[in-house]
Amino acid sequence: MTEYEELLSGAVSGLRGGGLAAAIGAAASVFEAIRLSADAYAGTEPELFATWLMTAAEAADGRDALLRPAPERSAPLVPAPGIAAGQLARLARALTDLLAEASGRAGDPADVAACERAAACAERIHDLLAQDTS
Amino acid sequence: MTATLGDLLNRASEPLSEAASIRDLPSSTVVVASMRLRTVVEAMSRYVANPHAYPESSAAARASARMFRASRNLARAAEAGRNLPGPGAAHPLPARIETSVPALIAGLDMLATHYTTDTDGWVLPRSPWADVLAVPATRTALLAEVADMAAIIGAACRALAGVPSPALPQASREALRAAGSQLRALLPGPAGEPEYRQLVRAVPAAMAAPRQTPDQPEPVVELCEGITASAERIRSLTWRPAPGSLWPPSPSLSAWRWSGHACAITGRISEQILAGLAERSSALGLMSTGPALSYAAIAAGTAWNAWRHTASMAALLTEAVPWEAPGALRDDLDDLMIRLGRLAYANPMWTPAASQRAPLKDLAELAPGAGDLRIVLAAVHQATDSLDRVATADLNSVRSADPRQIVPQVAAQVPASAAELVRMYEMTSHAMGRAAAAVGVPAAAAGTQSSFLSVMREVHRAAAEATPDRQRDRLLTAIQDKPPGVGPALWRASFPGQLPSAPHAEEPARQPERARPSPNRATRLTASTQTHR
Repeated sequence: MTEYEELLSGAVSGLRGGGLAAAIGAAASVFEAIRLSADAYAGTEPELFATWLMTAAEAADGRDALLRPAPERSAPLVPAPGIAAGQLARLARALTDLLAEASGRAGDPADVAACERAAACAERIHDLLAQDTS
Repeated sequence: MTATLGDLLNRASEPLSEAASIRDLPSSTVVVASMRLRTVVEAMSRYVANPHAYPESSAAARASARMFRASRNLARAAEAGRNLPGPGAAHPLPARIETSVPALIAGLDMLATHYTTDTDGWVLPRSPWADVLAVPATRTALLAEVADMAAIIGAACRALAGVPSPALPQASREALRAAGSQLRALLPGPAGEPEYRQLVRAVPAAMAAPRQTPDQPEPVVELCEGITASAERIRSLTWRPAPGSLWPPSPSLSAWRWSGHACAITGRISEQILAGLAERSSALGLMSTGPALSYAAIAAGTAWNAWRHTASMAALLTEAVPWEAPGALRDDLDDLMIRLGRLAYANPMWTPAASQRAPLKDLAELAPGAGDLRIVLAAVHQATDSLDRVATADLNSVRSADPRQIVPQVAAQVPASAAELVRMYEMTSHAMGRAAAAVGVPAAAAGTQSSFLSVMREVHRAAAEATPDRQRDRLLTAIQDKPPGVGPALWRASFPGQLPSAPHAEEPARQPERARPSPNRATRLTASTQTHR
C-alpha cells in the first residue's frame, strides 16, 4: 500500500469516527499529489500528453472543490513526491470511494456538494487513466 | 454542415444557370418563366434596396435602378405573351427558377442576423461577423456577388428571348433582350477583391449551429466539417459585444484552467498535424507550401507550450469565493480536441483517455492527395483561429477579474498571483495570435476554404484598434433595415437536414449590453419600415 493509499485508508477509518474535515483534507492532499504527478508525467510521456493534462485539470478542480467550502478545516497540503503512473488510477478509485462515503456522512449541504463534485472529478481521473475500459 | 451565404447564393444560381443554358422552350413556358425571373430580380433588388449600405453608393443606386428597369421589362415580356396556348407553368423550368427566391431571401436574412437595433434606434453588432460586414471591401464584394447573380439572370433572359418558337411575340423577345442587357451590365466597375469575395461568401447565420458530438468514428471529411463547426461555435461564444463588458457567461478560474489544458492539447495536436503536412507536401509536389507549413508548426508549438504553462500557473491558484458556473466553451473545446485527435492519430475513437492512446497516422493516410492536404490544413486553420479567440477572450476575462478573488493555492510551492496569471495570458494570447497568422500563410498559399479567416483576423484587429470611422458607421447604419429574425425558414436554410436539438438551439446570438451614446458613435438609424419578406 502506498503512502497516499494509507492516507486515504486512514481517512476512511477517521470518517467513521466523525472526522469529516480530516477526510476532506486528506482527499484534497491526494488530488494535489495526483495533479503534480500528472503535470510531471505530461513532460516525460508524450504519447499520453493529453491524458496527463486532462488528469491535471480534473485534479485541480477536485482539490479546489474540497478546499473552497471550509479551507480553515482542511489539512495543509504537503508537497507531493511523484506517484508511480500505474498507481494513479487505483488512487483515483480510492478517492471516489472515500468522497462518496464522505458526502453521505456530511451534514452541511455545502460539504455534500463539494464531496460530490470532487468525487465526479476523481471518477473522471480514473476513467482517463484506466488502461482497460472493458 | 452549416450553410453560408455562398451556399445560398449557389443554391439560387443553379436553376438560373439552367435557364441560361436552354435552347428551346414552348412559348407559353417562356412567358411563365419571365414572370418567375421577375420575382427573382425583385428578390435580388432587396440586396441594394439601400444604396448607402455600400461604399460606392452611386454604383449601388445605379444597380438598383437597372434591376427595377429589368423587372419592368420582364413584366412587359409576360404581358405581351399572355394567354398563349401550351404547357406554360406545367413545364418544370418555371418552378425551378422560383426556388431561387427563398434562397436569396434567406441570404438576406442571414446577413441581417448579425445586427440588431435597440429601442433607441442604435444599430448594434450581434456576432463577430458584424465588423466584417461593415468593412467597405466586404460591402463591395457583396455588391459584386449581386452583380454576378444579376448577370446569370440576364443570361437566362437572353436565352429565353432566343427560343425558336414562332408563337412567342416579338414584343416579348425585345423586352427579354432589354432585361438581359440591363442585368448583364449591372456594375461597370471592378468585381471586388478576391479575398473579400471569399470572406463574404463564408458568412454564416448569427445563430449557433447545433452541437454535433463526436460519438461515432467519422471519415476525414466529416471530421474536418465537425472541426469547422466547433470552431465557428467557439468564435461565436468568445465574441465580446461592444461597448465593453465582461464576456458572458461569467467565467471562473476553473473554466479558464480547463480551457487552458484543452487548448494546450489541441494546440499540440495541431503542431503534430502541421509538421506531418509539411513533410507530406514535398511528396505531393507542393514544394512552395512546405516551408510555410514548417514555420506554422513551430509557431503552433510555441503557442501550445504557452497554453500549458498558463494552465499550470492557473492550477497553483484558487478562487476565494466558490464559483461553480460551468465553462461556456467546455463542450465545444472538448469536441474540437477529440476530432482533431482523431484526425491526427491512428484510432478513429481517440479520446484523451489512456485506453485510447494511439500513434500518429501514417502521412499517406492523413493526406493521400493534394486536395486532402488542403482539407486537413483548412481544419487545422479553423482550430488554430478558434484557439486564438479563446486566448483573447480569456485574457480579457482574467484582466477584468478582481485580483483579490484569485489567491495562491495554500500548498503552492511556486509563487503565483493573479497579476502573474495575467502576464501568462498576455504571453499566450500573443503566441496564439502569431500561430493563427502563421497557419494562415500556407492556408492562403494552398487556397484552402479557410483562407478567409486571415482576412477576418485583420478586420477584427483593425476594428479593435480603430478610431471612429464615419464610413463604417454610415455603412453599419444602412445595413440594418429590418429587425433580425431567426425563423424556421432561415434555420432550414442555414442548417439543412438538422432539426433544432435543444431549446437553446434556435436562440439568437447574444445581445450586447444596451449601448450608450458616446463621442465615438455618430450614427443613428433612421426609422425604416421596409422588410425583406
